Amino acid sequence: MITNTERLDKENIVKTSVRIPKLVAMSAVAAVTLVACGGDDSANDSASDTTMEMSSDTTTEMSSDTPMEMSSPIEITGAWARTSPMMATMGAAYMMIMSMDDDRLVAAAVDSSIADHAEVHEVVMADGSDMSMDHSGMDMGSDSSMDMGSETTMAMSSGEMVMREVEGIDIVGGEMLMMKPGGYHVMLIDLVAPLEIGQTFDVTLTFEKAGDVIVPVEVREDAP
Amino acid sequence: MSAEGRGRPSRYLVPIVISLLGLVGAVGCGGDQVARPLTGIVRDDPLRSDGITVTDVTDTGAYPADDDSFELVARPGSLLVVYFGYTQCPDICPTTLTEIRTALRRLGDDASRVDLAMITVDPDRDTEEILNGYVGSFTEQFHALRPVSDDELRTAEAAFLASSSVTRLDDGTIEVGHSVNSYVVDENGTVLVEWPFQHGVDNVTSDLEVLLDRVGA
Repeated sequence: MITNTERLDKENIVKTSVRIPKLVAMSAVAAVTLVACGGDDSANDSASDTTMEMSSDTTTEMSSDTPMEMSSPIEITGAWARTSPMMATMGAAYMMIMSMDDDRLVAAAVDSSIADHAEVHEVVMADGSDMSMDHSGMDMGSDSSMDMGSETTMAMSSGEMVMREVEGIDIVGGEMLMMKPGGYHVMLIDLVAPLEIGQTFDVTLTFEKAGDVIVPVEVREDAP
Repeated sequence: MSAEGRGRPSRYLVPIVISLLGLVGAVGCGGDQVARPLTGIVRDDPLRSDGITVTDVTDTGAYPADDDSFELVARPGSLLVVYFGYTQCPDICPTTLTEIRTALRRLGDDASRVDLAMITVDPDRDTEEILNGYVGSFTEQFHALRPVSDDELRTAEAAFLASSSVTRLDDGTIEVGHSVNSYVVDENGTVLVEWPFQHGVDNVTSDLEVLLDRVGA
């Protein structure tokens, strides 16, 4: 949590200055500035929370009561997609989204040269809960509920996960939305070709208020 | 999908118990030969997969196709990593298999004693060709396993306390749910350790090193 600000500084930052009304906002997306500073942030820690809170005073400033005239930048950092295995028809892109105001991510799109289309997905436990188990320092010991032969505890033992399309993700002003493995991702459906290291492609995220934001996504083997 | 249990609180207790045991284990462990404890899940009463066979559609030359069924045990002196997944899985499966691939690379020459078996839980869509290309992207020493019947899949899953479900939704979408652990099996079919999702490359590598040492000739 304390590294939040550092993350923003270290990562490649895409900033868009967006103004209402929405049509203007959409076109303002063209004015994307890229601040490249590199960094070795680890977005792959297994914390289950998908949001990270900023300090409270910052949050106050960024309340949704902010006058419409003010710019409401959305910052998207650490965007990456995993290299896709041979024959894989699906891919996933991950990123961190920070909005000054409350907003809602409602759609994702990708150029048809990359994939047929994109959707926003999340991974959840099949029973509906999120996958927040601390797996550190495990030793199963002799807990009898984990023994073989008990049908009802089967699924429980390793937890079934399922991936689902989501209609949108609410973004709380001042909080970081983490799209990362095991949580939210932009699913790339029907890849045209395997995603390969070094490749970069654009994903367009559509926000309810901020409109479209174009995000350059770097293909990597693992999280930056 | 029978995840409801019997109203027992084990779902929440187990992780706590596990954590506590882990703490105790960390203090009490450390034999003469194995300097490091295993990082994954180790059961007092290990799961076993000997005698469990799955249809093997591997088409590389590495494993001659003289037998189209594969028993889920490692080669002598080696380890077999078993994973249940499907190829239209953009998130969980590549994350897990990439972790394993990275660990294998770190092992260097020792990786020659580690094979990967992926059992598809979506055999209808994961054809032989697709499955081979997919699993082969992560290691050359692989088994592409494609159950030919529901019974075959369920039997294999049961051995690992794994589970899966393929559901066609009203809009035509096919939703696949699957347990996400991976398992390390020795030549006798004993599951030596299992790794939960995102166990971490360092942990996976460490466990493989420790276990290779243990099963090594």
